[in-house]
Amino acid sequence: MFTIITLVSFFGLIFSLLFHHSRRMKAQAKGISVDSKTRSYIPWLFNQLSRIFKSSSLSWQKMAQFLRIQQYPEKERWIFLSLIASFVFLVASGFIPAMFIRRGLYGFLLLLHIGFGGIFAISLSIIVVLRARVYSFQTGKTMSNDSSAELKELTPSYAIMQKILFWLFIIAGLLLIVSALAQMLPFFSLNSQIALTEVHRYAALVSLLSAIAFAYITLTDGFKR
Amino acid sequence: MKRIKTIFLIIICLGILNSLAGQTDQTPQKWDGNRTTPVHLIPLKDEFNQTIVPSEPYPSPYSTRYTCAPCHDYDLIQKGLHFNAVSSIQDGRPGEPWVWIDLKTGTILPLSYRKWKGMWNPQELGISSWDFSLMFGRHMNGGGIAEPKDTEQSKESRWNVSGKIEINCMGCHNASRIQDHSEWAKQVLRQNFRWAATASSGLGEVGGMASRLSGTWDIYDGPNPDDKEWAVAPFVRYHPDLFDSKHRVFFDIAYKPDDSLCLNCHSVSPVEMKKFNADNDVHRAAGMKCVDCHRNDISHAMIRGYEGEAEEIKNQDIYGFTCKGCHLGKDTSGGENLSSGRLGAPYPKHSGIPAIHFDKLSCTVCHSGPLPGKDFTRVRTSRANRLGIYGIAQWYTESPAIIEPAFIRDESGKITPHRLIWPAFWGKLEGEKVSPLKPSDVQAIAGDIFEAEQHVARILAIISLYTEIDGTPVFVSAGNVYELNQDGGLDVTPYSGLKISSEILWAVKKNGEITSLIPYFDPDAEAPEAEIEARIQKILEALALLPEAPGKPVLINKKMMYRVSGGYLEAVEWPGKPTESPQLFWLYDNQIHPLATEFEIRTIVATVGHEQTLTEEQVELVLKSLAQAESQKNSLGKSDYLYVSGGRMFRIDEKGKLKATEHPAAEPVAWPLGHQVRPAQQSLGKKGCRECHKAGSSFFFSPVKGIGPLLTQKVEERSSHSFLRLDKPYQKLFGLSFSVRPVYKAVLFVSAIVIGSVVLLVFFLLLGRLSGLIETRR
Repeated sequence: MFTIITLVSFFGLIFSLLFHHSRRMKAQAKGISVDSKTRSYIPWLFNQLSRIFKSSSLSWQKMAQFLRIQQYPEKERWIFLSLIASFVFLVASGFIPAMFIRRGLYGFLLLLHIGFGGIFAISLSIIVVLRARVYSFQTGKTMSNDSSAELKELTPSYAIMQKILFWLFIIAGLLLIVSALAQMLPFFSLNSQIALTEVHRYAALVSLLSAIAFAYITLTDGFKR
Repeated sequence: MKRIKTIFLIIICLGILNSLAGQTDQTPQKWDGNRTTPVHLIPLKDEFNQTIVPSEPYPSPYSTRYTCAPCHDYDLIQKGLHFNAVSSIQDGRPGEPWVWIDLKTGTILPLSYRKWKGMWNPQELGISSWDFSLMFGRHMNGGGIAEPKDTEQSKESRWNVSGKIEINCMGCHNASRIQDHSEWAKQVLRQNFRWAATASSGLGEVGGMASRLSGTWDIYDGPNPDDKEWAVAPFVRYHPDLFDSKHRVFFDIAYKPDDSLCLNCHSVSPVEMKKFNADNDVHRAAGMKCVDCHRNDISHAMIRGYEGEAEEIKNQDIYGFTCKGCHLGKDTSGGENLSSGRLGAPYPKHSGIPAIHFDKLSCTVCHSGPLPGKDFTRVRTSRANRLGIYGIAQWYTESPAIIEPAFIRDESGKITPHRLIWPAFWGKLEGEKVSPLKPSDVQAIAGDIFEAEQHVARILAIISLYTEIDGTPVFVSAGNVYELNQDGGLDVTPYSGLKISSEILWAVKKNGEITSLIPYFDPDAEAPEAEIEARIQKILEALALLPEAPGKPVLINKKMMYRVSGGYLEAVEWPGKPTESPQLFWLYDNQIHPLATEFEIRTIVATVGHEQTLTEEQVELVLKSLAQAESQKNSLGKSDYLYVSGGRMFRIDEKGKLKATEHPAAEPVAWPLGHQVRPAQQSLGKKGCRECHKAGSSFFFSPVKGIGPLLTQKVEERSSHSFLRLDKPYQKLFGLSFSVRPVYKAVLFVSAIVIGSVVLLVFFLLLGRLSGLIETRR
């Protein structure tokens, strides 16, 4: 069931974003068909990625540029990077076994998953403290004082959406941490633990989807004024 | 023509009616709903279905087949778990094997008629139903293999003398304390098969021994008028006060057998445990009986109670008698509000135990058997170690060495605690196929190689019997004193007195003091005293009586040789090497040979007083003898002979040396354990994850060493994780991770508090903004 929900929601989101992106492109450049623009999105994405990973140009700067790390204060960049790296690893090590391996997550991968979970928890808690003001639902006046520029450049509706996605990711992250912690404590019965595992899985799914959507809004230029 | 048709029709109708009547007989009686047990005041029937009159001069023993049969379907009962090992189609989860033990040849062979891994089928080894019944009937309850059809009896069997061992109904269902398992075992070992049930139930007194009777004796022959001392035919004298005037007997029947009757054959106790310190299984302590879970109906298809049994035998009704079925009920989705299983058995919450444990471990891992420790617990079981046969003689054996709990991943993929033994046997290797040899066959070829201890014991016995020495004759070697024991073997004690001359081998022990069997005297100076002379003569005469005496016994003292000739002690000059002190020898081929050979002394010193009964030297010699015997028998024979012990297979290599290798036939044999169940407070993991998950965990890494009759360093050594089929480095690392778990938990906890606080703050700010409270304040 989890596998089906994950696949449907994941691909549903991807197609929605592609569709959305194509419509945006169409709106921006009249005369270009939606289909061709939609098709051009994926090559663009791969193009962006390939530029980073090209042997001569593989550098942290370019990766950071792609991920728009520069827009964060220097001290925060490493925290963001560790959050992204740990999240990517957790997604890969968590979802693949959960969906495609009957036994689920086990062995050395489980140990690594637990280890990266700790990094994720620490990074997330620092990020939420540092970025809470930026993504809080306050007036634009407050946000304009902030050093980051990514929010004020966005259209208001997307800015709100981005904030919602940010907090969704944070809340999902909180649930991930709490459900992982709770399973290690001797307070919950077997049935409660099974429920906690389900909470952990679905929280992971929500965090993944919100992260993708958040990244889409943040990384694509189409939303900017 | 019409009349013929009518007669024909009548015949057909009668036939149909007859067959219907027959079918009615086969239908088990339906329970009327009454929960009482009927009074069993019934006449006793013998094996010829004749009513037994106890006052008759030579009454027959009672037969359960005919005494119980009018009401209970004997043939149906015979298909029950306790009787169907040979005929069963579904063998189910492995159970305890019968262990064929022959210590002299170092044979410890697990046998079973059921097709269980590592256990040998007796039929394939040429063990007849007669041999099997004689070996293991002591702990069998009759029927099945012990009650073969006339057509299935082997030639060497003596069923006509002993009778068959019918199902011993009272062995389980007797509510009277007079039911005597020891009596049962003794009667079976005397070959009084058909009398065993009568004797053990206390209905009568049984005398005589079928084992001493000629093979032509038959129960029709009655008592033996010519021999009232030795070959006395078995007989029974019923207790007349147990019978009423109609020759009926009251059987005090327990519908649910008492636990003590189950435990006659199913006891398991740690070797080191003292009886007063032994606790009961938690279920028994709570007042339950074995048969409360291990139930059966008249079919006697007893519930074994393991997971998956219900699916195997396609009867979901028995699911409720498994651990899960009883404690969780059928619906495992709920929580404590569930009614759980039978009689409201406590519903376990298993708080804090990750769900993976319930997928991978059986309930018994945490709840049954001894807790895993640094070493495995060695136990004795009734059937393997011959427990529960009481008498002056000690019946139980230390072999086989059974250890528990060995956590092994079973066929279903679940980890289950097992009992484990290491097989030991002589065999033949043809290709990859190993065929065990019968101990009697090996012994016949090995000759004296296995007889070292017995040979010295017999010398001591014969000196003790025929010389009237004041004290106990002993054999002294390597600082140890070897003394004859009641079983015809030797007991060893370290010698703590003054230093004995190294030449003294044969001595006398009196009041803890060891003196030479023949006191020192100088043959050059004077003739020995009359007392010494008499002792020498008696000892030499006694030794000459030894059946396996290889020559004439002589005493050599310096240059003089003393021998018995024509009933007189004769002293002649000894041309050979003189001795320092009086020494006993065998004289043959004009040469002297010691009473005990160097090989025998080496073997005795190495094995007596130890659990191991064989040396590598003996194994090498026997393997060579086996090979030689085959080459003499068949010049083309190229069988490779082997001995298995301690998890290794021993063979003779190209250079003629003993080599040890691994082989599947040397693998340990294990079977899951169900009891004894500990209370939840004493379950494994109750004290936390680190009971199992730590770098040096006993659960994962306890060392297991092969145990066998061979005294050798070449034994199989394993870590427990190999039975679990788990990766050692990972389990070590995983165990280590629990050392930092408290820190990890703290990190997660602090992170959760920080994130939660910020989320809460933002939520309230949003709430304030949406409600307009914040704007109002500005």
